[in-house]
Amino acid sequence: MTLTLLRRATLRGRRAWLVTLVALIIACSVGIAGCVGQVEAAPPEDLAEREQQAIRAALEKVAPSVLQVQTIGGSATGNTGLGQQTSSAVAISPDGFLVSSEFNFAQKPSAILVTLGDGTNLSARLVATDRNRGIVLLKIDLPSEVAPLSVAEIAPRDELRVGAWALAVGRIYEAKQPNVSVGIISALDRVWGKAVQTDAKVSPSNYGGPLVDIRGRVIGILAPLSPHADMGMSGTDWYDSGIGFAVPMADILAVVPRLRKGQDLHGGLLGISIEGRDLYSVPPKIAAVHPRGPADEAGLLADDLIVAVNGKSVENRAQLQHVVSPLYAGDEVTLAVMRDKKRVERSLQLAEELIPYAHPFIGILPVRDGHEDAAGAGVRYVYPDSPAAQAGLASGDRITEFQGTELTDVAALRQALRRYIPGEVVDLSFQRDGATKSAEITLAALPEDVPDDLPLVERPAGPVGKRPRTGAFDLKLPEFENECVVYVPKNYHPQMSHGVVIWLTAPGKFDKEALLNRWKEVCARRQLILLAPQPRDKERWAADELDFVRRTYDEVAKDYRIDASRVVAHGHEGGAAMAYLVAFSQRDVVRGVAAVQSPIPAVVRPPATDPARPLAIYVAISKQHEYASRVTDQIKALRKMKYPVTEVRFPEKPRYLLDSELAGLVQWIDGLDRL
Amino acid sequence: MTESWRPPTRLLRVATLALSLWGVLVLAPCGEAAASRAAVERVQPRVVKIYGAGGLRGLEAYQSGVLVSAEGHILTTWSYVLDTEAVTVILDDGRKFEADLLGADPVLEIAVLKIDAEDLSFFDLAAAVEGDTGMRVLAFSNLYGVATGDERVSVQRGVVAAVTTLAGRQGAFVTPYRGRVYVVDAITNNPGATGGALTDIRGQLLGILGKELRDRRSQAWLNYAVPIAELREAVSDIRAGKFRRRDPAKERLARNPLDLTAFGIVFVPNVVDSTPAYVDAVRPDSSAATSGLQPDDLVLFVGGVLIRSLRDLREQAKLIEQPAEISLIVRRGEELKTVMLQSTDAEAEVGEPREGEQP
Repeated sequence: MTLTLLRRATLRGRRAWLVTLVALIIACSVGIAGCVGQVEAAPPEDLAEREQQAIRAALEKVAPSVLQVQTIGGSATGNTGLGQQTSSAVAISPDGFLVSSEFNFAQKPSAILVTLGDGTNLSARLVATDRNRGIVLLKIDLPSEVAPLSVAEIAPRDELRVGAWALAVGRIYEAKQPNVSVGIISALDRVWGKAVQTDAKVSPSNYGGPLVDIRGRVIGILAPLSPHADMGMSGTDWYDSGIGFAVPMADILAVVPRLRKGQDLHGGLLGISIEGRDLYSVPPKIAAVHPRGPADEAGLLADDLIVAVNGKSVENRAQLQHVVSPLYAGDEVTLAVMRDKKRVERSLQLAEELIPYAHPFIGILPVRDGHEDAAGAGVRYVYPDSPAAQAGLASGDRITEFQGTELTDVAALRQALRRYIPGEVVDLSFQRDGATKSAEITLAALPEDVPDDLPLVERPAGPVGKRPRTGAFDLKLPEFENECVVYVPKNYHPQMSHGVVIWLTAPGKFDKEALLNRWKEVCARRQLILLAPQPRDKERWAADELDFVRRTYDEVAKDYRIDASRVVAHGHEGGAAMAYLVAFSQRDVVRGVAAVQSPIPAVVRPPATDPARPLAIYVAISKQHEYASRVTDQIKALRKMKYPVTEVRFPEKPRYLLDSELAGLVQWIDGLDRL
Repeated sequence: MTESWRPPTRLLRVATLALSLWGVLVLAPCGEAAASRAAVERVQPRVVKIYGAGGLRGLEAYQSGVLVSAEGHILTTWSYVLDTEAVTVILDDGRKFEADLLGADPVLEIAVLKIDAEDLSFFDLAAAVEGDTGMRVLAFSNLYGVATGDERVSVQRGVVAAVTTLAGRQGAFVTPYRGRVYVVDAITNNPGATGGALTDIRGQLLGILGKELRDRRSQAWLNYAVPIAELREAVSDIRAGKFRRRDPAKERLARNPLDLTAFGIVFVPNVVDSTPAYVDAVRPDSSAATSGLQPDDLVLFVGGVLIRSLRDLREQAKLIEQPAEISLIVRRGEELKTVMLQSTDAEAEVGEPREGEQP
């Protein structure tokens, strides 16, 4: 009875306090609950007591279906603060099927242990993963002496209301006692319709547990989700910021039959690109159709304007995403498009992945910082045995036309090449000694071998003029505790663009003097600026420090002339794991990642290659490294994704690069502006 | 939820604080605040602001404390703030006192101060109540040092998220205190908050707010308070002049650490940090062989303690006395099996009580 009373109060209070609630949801995780019952005439002391009773009753009701999960072993590298060893799961069938968050199993544990409320330990196995919603299905086999699991009651979706109580529950502290955090439902249909949002405290420690209503019915499973997810780890950076997500139970149960068969589920792709980055203001016009992707095979074309998906009309990219994002690879979708003022409908099956895009290669290094009086792209080096070499190009030539279009500068050639893939034949015109020549070349794939004779860039004649600050100095950003060392070569020239090496130190091993000794001369010879951001905690990098790293780069890019093609994230051991995170998450600036003695962290999924944002990968690993074989597998996978991977192997114990190997890395960086 | 990630920057910290204060103000006319008003009135005079050493980069020179006697005994957290000759205490009415440090317990991380005053409102530790999961609570502290002079300490609200022990989350937290705590689902353990009071909604004392504690793995912060029941005896000892000094690290180490090889188990080589404790071989005629332990068994529990890796086992073993008999839970295939091992080693007797150990 108490419960019914409270519910009514909650709903009526919601109307009365709507404005306050909206403000509070956004701004303030403190003190919501106290307001909702205000219109009730009951003495306030009683109300507070009854709220407490209701919370306890809800907790008690859901508790038997919430179980503790322990993971043992697995491949987490440990330096990036990801993955919990103790987490929670929710029983969905009496015979031992459980659901939890994918987050806790990303490191592929060797053993999974489920502890029942009475302390009984049972071995569990991971049946399948729903990667679109970040949920896993687990199974425990119940011995005959163990009672069937208590299955949670589900809160019907149409009863969920913004402002209603929501309890985040888990068993992360004690297997025998559930833990709870109290909040409200902040929003429904978040993250493209895949999540309920709450202000109850949600963090890596309780992903996998349920979000329950005040009646103890399960709303959904707590999981790290983000509308901006493009890597496996996205979403965790929001923990306990007054914003957390739960995947609605109804959506999970809908796919459980597929998961029970051991089938992993993935988000579905249409295989189209849409012009621009804005989600709301631009109509969803197809800019390019990915070759042999679902849209291509269904006969959709570039310049088609999407007007409806599955019968639902869409006017911008956000609406399109709202319909498509909740769907899975393999699901059928019907797109209606406008083409030449006619409506065309096509059905297609969403793909799990697209055939990856490989960047094409002519085989030249362009002249940097081109002279204003000459159009086109100057050639300063021709790669041996490259298509350019075969076509007879030589350094000193100037490419003036590509596929019949005049080139204004190097950037124009770079942009034009994005529409092509290796194997395609293109026409070039180039000038040599005042004469125009033409060549037909077959584009190759980007080289993985590094030539050891890349020429130095000529320094401009004339006075240097005013230089910004050079030498080694500390870069302090007021809003971060972290420290950062910058080294700008003494011979910095404002007319020469400089590459940036973002050095991510191995945790606990930052040595400024050694670092500067290693890079000073190199920076001066090859026009590089060294940036060495350091972790807040000297012992480890945290994923939330990506922001700091990015900010240090932005700061340097403001004051110096940066060569956008030669920005590299480079690290050793734990710093290399961080370098991968930096490279995969800051794709608009990072063009290379050089990882020494580290695999890609297990929870990070490399994103697909992107025509406009190329990324080259340099891996140095000792054959004796504990993860050598995993690195081999990862290199294989990266190559399959069409990333160019330059590989260096050492026979001896894991160590950083020797001087001769560092010289090779520097040549690799120096060649990143290749075309 | 209960372990909370806090935005690392100062700016955001201040913003969070401003918002929480705003929340308290906006909520003033609400039902619950009315319910808690009496509690707030009762508790605030009993919580004090403490100023001492610190003030350097990242270290605040202030914390909170609670009055535990009418004549000015103050229970607070043992920290660097007290590591100075001049500790100042300011009461809720603005009165300022120099405080004497009567004593401290570095394992419980508490200290008792004494100021020269009379007829103060105080918490009777004997009357402190116990909390449980789901209980609504109020936290009183001078978080961020925002209250000065006669300004009263700040009030926050939340629920007890869990009652647990810090030792249960092995390796995740670096703290000498490993006993029972109330985990709170509000962000209570801010700079300056340690030593403050956690009460129920009637203002009855539950515990003392702990330090800022961050999970090394998840980088999440833990907000917790130490139950009064854990502190009562130590406080009365210190007040009675029984000085307590214990070395937290030494206390936990076993004199004769557990060695499973003595039972005949050979583990796989420890190749990576997270190598699980797989049995590589079992010595013939050993206790392990008699018990039916097999190669490829994965050892998950030793004497009831979860073992995540060989390294974990090595760390845990340092804390466990070599027993005459120990139970293991292993995973074999998909099943968990319990095996008992008997020591054949005469040396492996349980040692006498350790130095400094509590009876």
